[in-house]
Amino acid sequence: MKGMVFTQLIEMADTMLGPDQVEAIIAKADLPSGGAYTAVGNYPHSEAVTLVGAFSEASGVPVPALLEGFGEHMLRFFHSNYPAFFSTCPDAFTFLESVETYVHVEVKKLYPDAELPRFSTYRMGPGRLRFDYYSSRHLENLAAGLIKGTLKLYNEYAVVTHDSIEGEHGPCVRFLIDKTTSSIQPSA
Amino acid sequence: MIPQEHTPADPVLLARRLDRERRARLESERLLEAKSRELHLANQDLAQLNTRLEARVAERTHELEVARQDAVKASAAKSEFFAHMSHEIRTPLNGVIGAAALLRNDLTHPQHLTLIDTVTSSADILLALVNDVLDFERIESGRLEFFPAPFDLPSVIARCGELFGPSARAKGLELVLSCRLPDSLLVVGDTLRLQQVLVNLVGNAVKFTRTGKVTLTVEPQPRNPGESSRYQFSVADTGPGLDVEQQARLFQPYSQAGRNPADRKGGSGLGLVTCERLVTLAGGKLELQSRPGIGSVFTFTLTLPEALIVGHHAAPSALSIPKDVNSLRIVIADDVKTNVDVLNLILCRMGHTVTPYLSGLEAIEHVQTKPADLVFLDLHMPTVDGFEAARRIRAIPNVGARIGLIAFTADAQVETNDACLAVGFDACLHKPIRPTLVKETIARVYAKRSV
Repeated sequence: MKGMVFTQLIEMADTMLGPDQVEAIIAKADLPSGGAYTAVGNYPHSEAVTLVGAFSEASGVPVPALLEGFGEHMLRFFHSNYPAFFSTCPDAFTFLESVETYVHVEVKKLYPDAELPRFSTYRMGPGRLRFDYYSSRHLENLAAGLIKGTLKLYNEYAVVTHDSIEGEHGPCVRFLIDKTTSSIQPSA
Repeated sequence: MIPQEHTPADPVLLARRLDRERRARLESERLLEAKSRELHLANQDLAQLNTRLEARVAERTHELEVARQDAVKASAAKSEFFAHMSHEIRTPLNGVIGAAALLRNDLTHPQHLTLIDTVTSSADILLALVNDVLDFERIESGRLEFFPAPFDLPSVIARCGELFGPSARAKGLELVLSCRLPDSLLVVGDTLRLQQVLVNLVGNAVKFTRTGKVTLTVEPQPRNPGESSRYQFSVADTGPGLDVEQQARLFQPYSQAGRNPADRKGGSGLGLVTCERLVTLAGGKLELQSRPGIGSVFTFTLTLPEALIVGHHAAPSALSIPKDVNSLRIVIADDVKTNVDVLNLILCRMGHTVTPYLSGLEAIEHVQTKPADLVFLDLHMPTVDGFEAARRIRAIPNVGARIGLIAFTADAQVETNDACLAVGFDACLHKPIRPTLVKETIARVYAKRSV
């Protein structure tokens, strides 16, 4: 898993729990890497699972909610660090569609060994997008956070529902994103 | 520098975080170093690839250049072969045509006259075939040049009438010349090539039409002030016409070769293709409208600017040719005895006194010691060729400038004319030598030299 996920997870935890507690958690977790993460490195997925579990326990925030919050945090991080990916997309649906076809392509150019989830999108109508998430890591809550973060970034409203199904390329989590005109907050 | 909100207050935890951050930095530096090395190697690979590609491009370019040179050499060799063969074929043809023309005057028996006419027309066809192939080869190899000069457009049309009138009448066809031009109109263009196209089109029309008529029309085209004059030429017939498939094949070279022998009408099958290429090279477009059973119309338009006439240097026209001259003292030099004999006979019958030689050197010596009005020189002779002989004759004090010099050659190249004029010839006759042309040329050259 890309080191950037770990560095951002710790940064979010610092804000949630404070650096003292985060450092104590890392020390206690006894991670193979020792927690010395760099954004450009690669680290075992298991370390992320350990850290998320530990942060959830310490904060009292259930793992799914914590992952969703992390998804929104990651989206804000991407937007401030890689604005070029967003500048060509006029709305949330366009950006979500471009993640697989453009963002992941560019990431692969820089990091050919990066293991990325697979997204498949389909416009079901002018205000409805189908967004399928394929990954053996089952981080669908993180994906939901990314979707919601995107909607917030573009100041758009939508109802987001998801379901585990057998998709075109195997088992996946299918998100249905229905735009609304009112400010009904997106719900999982 | 770690931001304040990410700094633990506990010194032990702070030390841990700093240690973690330091190790992360070292790890990122290692990764960066590895990535840099990877980039460097990739760059080296790219540079090598680039060098290899450049080498391959150079190699391929060289191969192409060699292939091009080979092709150019092969093409030049082919052209040379064509020119040589043409010369070789024309030389004996000259003998046949000339001898037949002379023999015809001595014959009275109708059967003999028919036979001698067959000889003449067969030789003419053979000559036309050689010319067709040679012309086409010259066009395809891009060596065909146009030589624009002032000429009288109505006489070109009239000549077509004279040429095909008899054969049309013999078939019961009407040959109509519709020339909507003044009686005399000097324009600038390559008269030889225009005539070639018209002769081909009218000749074909007469050949393929069984009943009805063939019409050659020339019309000036409307133009704005300042624009050069343009003329539309059309040749219409009431012949069998062509279906769409035949029309598509018409301007394809060698299309006659694949046809059913029963459908062939003689000729090289290159005539129309040559016409189409010539018209295109002259800036026009040869177009065909045809309907089976109705007939065909070939049309093209050419820009032929009007000639400016300055002083007495007007273009030669039929009127400017002096009257017949005879009793001239003429010297001939040609290394081929048949040619000498034919020309000798032609000139003698015109009433001239002829001294024939088989070498250029002898002709020069003759001119140096004895009086002469005209010298006919074959261009290709061993030891002293026609060009050299002309130069030497022109250099003879007092005499050289007064003598008329006429080149005669089996070369088909039009470029030869310029080369002849450059060394001092007054005219250049291409074999086979025709009595009428010889007469006309002698009159013109003699008039020029005796002024």
